[in-house]
Amino acid sequence: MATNSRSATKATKKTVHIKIDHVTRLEGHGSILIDVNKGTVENLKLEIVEANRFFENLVKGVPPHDVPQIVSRICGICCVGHQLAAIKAVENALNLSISPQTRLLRVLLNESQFLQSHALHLYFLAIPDYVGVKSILPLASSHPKLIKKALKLKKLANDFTTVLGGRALHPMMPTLIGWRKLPDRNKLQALLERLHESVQDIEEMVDFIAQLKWPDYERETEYVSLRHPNEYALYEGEIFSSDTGNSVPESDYRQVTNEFTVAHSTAKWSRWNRASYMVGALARVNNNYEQLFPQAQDIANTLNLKVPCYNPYKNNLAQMVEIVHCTYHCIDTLEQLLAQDLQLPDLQYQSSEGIGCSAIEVPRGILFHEYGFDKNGICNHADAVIPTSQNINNIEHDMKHFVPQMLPLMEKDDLASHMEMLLRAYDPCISCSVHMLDVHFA
Amino acid sequence: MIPVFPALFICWMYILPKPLNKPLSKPYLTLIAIGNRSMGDDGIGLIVVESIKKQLSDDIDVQIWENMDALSVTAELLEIQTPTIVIVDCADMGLNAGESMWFKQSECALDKHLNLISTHGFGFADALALAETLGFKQQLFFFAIQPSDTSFDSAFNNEISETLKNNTAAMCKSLLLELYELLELKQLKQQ
Repeated sequence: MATNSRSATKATKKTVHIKIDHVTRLEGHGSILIDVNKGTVENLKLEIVEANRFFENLVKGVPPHDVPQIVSRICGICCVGHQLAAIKAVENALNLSISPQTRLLRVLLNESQFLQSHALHLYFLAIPDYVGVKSILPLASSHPKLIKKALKLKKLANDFTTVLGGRALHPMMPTLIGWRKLPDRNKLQALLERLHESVQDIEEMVDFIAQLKWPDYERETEYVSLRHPNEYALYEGEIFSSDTGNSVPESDYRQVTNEFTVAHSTAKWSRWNRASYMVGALARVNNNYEQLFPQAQDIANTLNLKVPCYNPYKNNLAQMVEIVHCTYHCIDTLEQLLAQDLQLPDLQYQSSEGIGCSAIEVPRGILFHEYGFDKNGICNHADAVIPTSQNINNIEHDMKHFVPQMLPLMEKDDLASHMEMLLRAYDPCISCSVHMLDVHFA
Repeated sequence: MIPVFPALFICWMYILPKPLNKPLSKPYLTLIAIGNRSMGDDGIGLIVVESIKKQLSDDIDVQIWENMDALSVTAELLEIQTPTIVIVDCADMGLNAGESMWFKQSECALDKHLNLISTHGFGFADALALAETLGFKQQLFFFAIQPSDTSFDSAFNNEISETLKNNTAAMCKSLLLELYELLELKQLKQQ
């Protein structure tokens, strides 16, 4: 015992310097810096060093219908979300309304993106950590059937987006008020059959994830997501906080995000009712668990994901739960759509002066867009708040909580690895390249 | 987009004979164009294949993979049933802009990122490596064209445009002859 005690004392007096450079693809670059001096964390920063991209300025001077096509280029993975958020915001600015059919199509398009993005992040970027390998290649070698199923799901989701939107990346069909060209009915029917077939594959993918061990770490934070009275909110809803138990309308989004700057980040940070908040799959599942499809709730049970869950690593489990939810919800929505005669709406609209915002859930959390138009109907104001910029602050708070707690128990390499895994668990845009990290120790 | 196909080339396409006496019973070869027209010279493979596809026999299954992410490339490669695949794409081979080269997979070393995976940095070589890990075994040939600039641009770089004005017809003819040679070899083997 005496030896253990001395070891523990020695461990808590550790001096550690961790510098993880170029955590890229947060639409730019980021780094993790950790300085621990004799057991005391003196410096811990999630540095975001990306250059500003000025999309808000790019759309100024363009007519309303061009805005969504331009801003979809903000992200290659969330292009559907940016496009739909912009369409909704422009429609709100111009007081345009849509048909129930258009809403169904948009719901499907948005959820096709969830299936694609969650499958990509979970199986190709996050899970290698939990199997103890560095990338997808050794995992594909040891678990080829699993990775083939994940690829099959991703392909199904990409095909889904293509059928609905005309192409998998930056779809051309959705526009203000409706759809430029309606999806082919036979192709929708074929997608429905493939979705039914995918259920068996997804169940096997769940079985694999259920065997994995997740870091035993918890920190309660504020969970923020959309909430809708009638459904698990992904396409629309009010902004709900787990801290207050109340919702505010999407037009109050600035009071939610309260964007601010810090010296070590070129991305803006956010906070609402406390120092930081979390958006994304775990926030949604925590806030809206009761509205998940029963099959998704069953999977949450299988994965031992009990709500409220305060373990940010389990955001990955929440993503799996949402894959199941979106699969069943897409089946349900497609059946509703196919029961109707699809009508091509009149896409004529009247430009006018106005300002409008929107909120939509995308795989990484709530996305806010706002646009203003002058009396000639030309865009003169734009604002976009992406999920990653809302999560960065919370990620850094998690790291500041994690390091002193785990320092006595972990060696440097293990600590650095857990920091990467934590960052990756949030599925920020930077997660797509976290395996490229170089770790330097002083 | 700067036009790259002179009238001479269009005329030439229509007089090139299809070399096979009779088609094979099912497609033997998949011809895939990979590229992105918004990335400058990266769109050249798409243009070349689209220009010749009407000249191809039914023995060749033509696929256009435009703006496709790497994991989708893996998924699509795994679905191909033909024993031979030809990829047409731009590739940095250290040649002059617009020059092309035909080679087998075994004759080249693709620049793999190995353990470095990201959705942005995960390129064709990584996609192929993943497909091979998952059982992809087909014979792979490349018809690669040296780009000059693959940064964001909806037009070809001036340097490659100039080169292509003079060489496109020859480049397409070269590709067609390689394709038909593969098919003839297959037919000879069947006989």
